Amino acid sequence: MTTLYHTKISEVGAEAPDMLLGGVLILFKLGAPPELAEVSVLHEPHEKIGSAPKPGDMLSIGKLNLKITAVGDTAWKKVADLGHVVINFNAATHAERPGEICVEARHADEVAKALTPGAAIEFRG
Amino acid sequence: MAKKYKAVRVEQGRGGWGGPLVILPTPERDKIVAITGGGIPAEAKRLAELTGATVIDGFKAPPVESEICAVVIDCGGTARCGVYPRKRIPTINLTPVGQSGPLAQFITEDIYVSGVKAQNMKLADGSEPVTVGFDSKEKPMAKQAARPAPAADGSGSGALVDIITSIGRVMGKVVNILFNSGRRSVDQVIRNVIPFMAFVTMMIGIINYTGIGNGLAHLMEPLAGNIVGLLILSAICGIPFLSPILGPGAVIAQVIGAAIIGPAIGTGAIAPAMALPALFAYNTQVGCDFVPVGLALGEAKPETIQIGVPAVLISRQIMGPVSVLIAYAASYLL
Amino acid sequence: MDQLTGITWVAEHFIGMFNEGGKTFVGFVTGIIPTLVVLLTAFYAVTSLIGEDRVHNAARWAGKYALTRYSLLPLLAVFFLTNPMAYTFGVFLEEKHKPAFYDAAVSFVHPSTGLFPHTNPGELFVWLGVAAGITTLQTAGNPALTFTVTDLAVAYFFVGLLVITLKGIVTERITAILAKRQGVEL
Repeated sequence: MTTLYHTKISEVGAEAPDMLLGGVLILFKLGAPPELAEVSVLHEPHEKIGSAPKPGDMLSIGKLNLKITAVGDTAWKKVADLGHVVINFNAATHAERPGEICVEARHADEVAKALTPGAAIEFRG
Repeated sequence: MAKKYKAVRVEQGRGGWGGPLVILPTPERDKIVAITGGGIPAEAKRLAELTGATVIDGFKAPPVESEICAVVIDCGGTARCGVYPRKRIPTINLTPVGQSGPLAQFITEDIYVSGVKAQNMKLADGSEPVTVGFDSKEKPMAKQAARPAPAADGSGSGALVDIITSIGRVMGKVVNILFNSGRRSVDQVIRNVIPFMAFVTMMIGIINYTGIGNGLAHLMEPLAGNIVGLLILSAICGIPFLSPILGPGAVIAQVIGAAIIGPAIGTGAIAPAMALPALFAYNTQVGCDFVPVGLALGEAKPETIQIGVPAVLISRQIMGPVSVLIAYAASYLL
Repeated sequence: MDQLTGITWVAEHFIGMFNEGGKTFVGFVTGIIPTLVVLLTAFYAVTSLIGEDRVHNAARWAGKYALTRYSLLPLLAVFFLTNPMAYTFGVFLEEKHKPAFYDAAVSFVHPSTGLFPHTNPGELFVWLGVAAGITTLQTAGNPALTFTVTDLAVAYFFVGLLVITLKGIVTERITAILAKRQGVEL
């Protein structure tokens, strides 16, 4: 497996846990406007970015490993531009929204625990 | 020195949702912010050009929230398209998505429009209210008053637009309140009133048809048919170890009222003059089951609750019969 | 044959019992619900239009004086917040007044329903039962009846208001006595 994208969490927005309860995790590169930072997890990515992941590839958040089930059309472009993507924990095989990447379902608490500043987030394919 | 700003109507594009919005910058809120990454999109530039506002890249130089006139985003449906409407900042999404994501409740047609292309933006003709971006915590009217009358181009349509805006917003708010009140009342009737009616009418049916009702009425007559009986009834209902048991949901009071005393008054077994004192007598125990919870709702300290519970129960034992006496006296005024 | 008549008799009276209930139900539904729905809507709208801030200010003022604390304050609380949220208005008071306020407020959630059913729609029959009895007499034109249902509702409301004021004052006293006996400062 090759690493497609590697980044380190720098800050977890105050309302990010609420978003997790709503079933989604929002990532933004450090430097996003404050309105967005509130609801997001901010991170500092490596310069290098690989090709878009496909269903069956893996996403890891700290020690948590999740299978990717669907990738929205424009999701990877946003990852490259803004370090922004929405991870939807709905295990859908078709991404309903173009900007999201769907992964297997996990409990919000479990994901919240994995989200600590310094932890790595990685897409592997 | 005030710059001339123009109102621009932004409609939804193909496959889009929401809007139309009428964007009008003010001297305080004069920034169109592109939150799209990869530079400022043509649509944001076009909007700035038409309105006379300044366009900036939200990722390069994020402005303070109070300066934002509108945001232009290309959100796929979760984060940005919810965050800005939640702050009541007019939001123009280039991607055609509607209400979705965990913030969907904030994405409303009066503050959000999607699927927008450059050709969906036109100078407004003043016939529609301006979409006013204000923080949801602020009072919309206060904002309206604080904002200087926008300079209109050539005509006095700016002031008119403002008046129409405020009338429109007030009307919208009132209609919304009325509608919600209607929903709440129907909800109450269906969830609480009708189920209780079903239960009470079943009891009434059985009691009346079988003649138990007459028996019960005769039985209750010495208690409910004269003032001495009512005082005894009240004293019984108010006994401190009995009153909390009789209280819950006012079920016992409702059954006594609806299935026994009410019908007995209807048939003449109990005199109508007893109605008022009876209402107080068979309800002496009201809320005695709920004292700790009720006090906690008023944020009482544990010591207060500890003393408050016996205080209310003892008071009830005394005041129950006293209430009946007062009601009995008052019934002479009827 | 006798057996069959017996069964028919049982069946007839069995269903008759529920028919009787059904008749009462229809009476309640057509006689009470239409007005109730409209009335509830109106009062919910009024309370929302007046708004929380204004009510809070009034409540703070009413909480200061012994006389209004157990009359006006419970009235405001019950009218605007309804049962059971009305009791949250206790927060505007000192600890030693809270039990008395609760006693006053909870004792008003039924006397208020005759005029303002929105205050406690879940427990309407405390009032409606007796009201139905009076209505029966009224429609029958019974001469023993010297007042109308509305008169009774008004009397229930105002006597209720008088009673809760007294209850509040007495409960406040009893609370003070109990606190003193237990050596607690409220």
